[in-house]
Amino acid sequence: MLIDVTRSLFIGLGQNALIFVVTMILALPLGLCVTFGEMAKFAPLRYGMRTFVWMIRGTPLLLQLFVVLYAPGLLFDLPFRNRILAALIAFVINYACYFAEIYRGAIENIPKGQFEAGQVLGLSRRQVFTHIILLQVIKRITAPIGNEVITLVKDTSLARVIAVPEILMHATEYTSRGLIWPLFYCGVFFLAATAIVTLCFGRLERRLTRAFGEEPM
Amino acid sequence: MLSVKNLCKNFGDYIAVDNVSFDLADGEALAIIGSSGSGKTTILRLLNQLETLDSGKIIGGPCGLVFQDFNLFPQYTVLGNLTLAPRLLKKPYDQAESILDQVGLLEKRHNYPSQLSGGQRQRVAIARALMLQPAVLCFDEPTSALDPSTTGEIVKVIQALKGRQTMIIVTHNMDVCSSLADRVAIMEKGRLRWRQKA
Repeated sequence: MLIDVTRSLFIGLGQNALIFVVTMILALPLGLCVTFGEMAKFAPLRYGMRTFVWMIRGTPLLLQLFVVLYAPGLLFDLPFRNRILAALIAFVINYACYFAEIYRGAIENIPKGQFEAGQVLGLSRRQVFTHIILLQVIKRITAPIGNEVITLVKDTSLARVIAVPEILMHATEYTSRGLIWPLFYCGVFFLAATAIVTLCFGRLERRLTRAFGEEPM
Repeated sequence: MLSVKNLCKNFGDYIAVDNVSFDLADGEALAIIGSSGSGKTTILRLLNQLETLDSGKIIGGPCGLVFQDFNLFPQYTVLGNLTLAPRLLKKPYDQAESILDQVGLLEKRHNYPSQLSGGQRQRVAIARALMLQPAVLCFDEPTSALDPSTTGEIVKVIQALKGRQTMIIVTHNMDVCSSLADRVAIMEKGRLRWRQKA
């Protein structure tokens, strides 16, 4: 029985992993684009982007999953047939907005003198950003992004509400047959996944600390 | 040679620099003193294009700037801080080690800013500014972030440049003024007054 349950949960976990990996690959760079929009000098773009980020951060991901799945059908008579694709779109947009706020906070907290020092040395804005600011931003965002990524690991189970057959959905199939323990067993999978993420981010943080000539704590 | 003519800069209603003019001969060192908010730093920022002029003219340059709080790049070693800009601007950078030798930091070239003392960081900031061979090197309160013993260390480095590097030094420290400057100007409410050197 344990083997059957484990096999079934691993199949579900594949969907969680897919959502996790695609969200990470797309939301991290998309978040940077959103940040540039939020910090743009062109006011309509800046305010438009900030309003969008406010809407995404101000509503539950659960609700956004329903909106992405049902809104095209209701508004344009183009029903979404691919549920995993709908989940991926909702996750990528949601996490890009959270990442964007983390990036924005980090960029705004880089001392103004770092930008000015580059400018005085005759570097272009692009050179200042890529060669001076970016690594400092990466160092500052590693811990908060790590937190978001751990939340993402757990949030992937929300895809269940639009019937993406992820791990919890597989577990609840056993519950409906009177078997409750597979549901609790899911926790082991999530714990293992968050442990891996925590270890990876810990290692990255230590490496970045050393890259600045500091000793990791 | 640097020639500054009728420089004006306002921030809203606040007049930061009010019709300032001066000339600086090659190798000359000018010290600007004055209370906080008198516009001394704004002049350096205008010379280094960190602020835009409201009116006036700056003839000469390019200028370099040594910041009050160093502004070294923490992710680069001492050598990396010196070579970054020339490397990206495709200018020569093989003089880095000899400049570091001049400021007495050659043995620290592979250290990161976080591993240096305040005085050493300021010396790196000076060396970094020298890399691009500026016509005029500006110092914004070069000793205000340092303790008295380290101040002497920085004064010596700047003194060694005297005569061969045109310099503008903004400072509160009268000792720095008297030991480094050929001419002293007092900044008051955005205006520059000249003073005989003590």
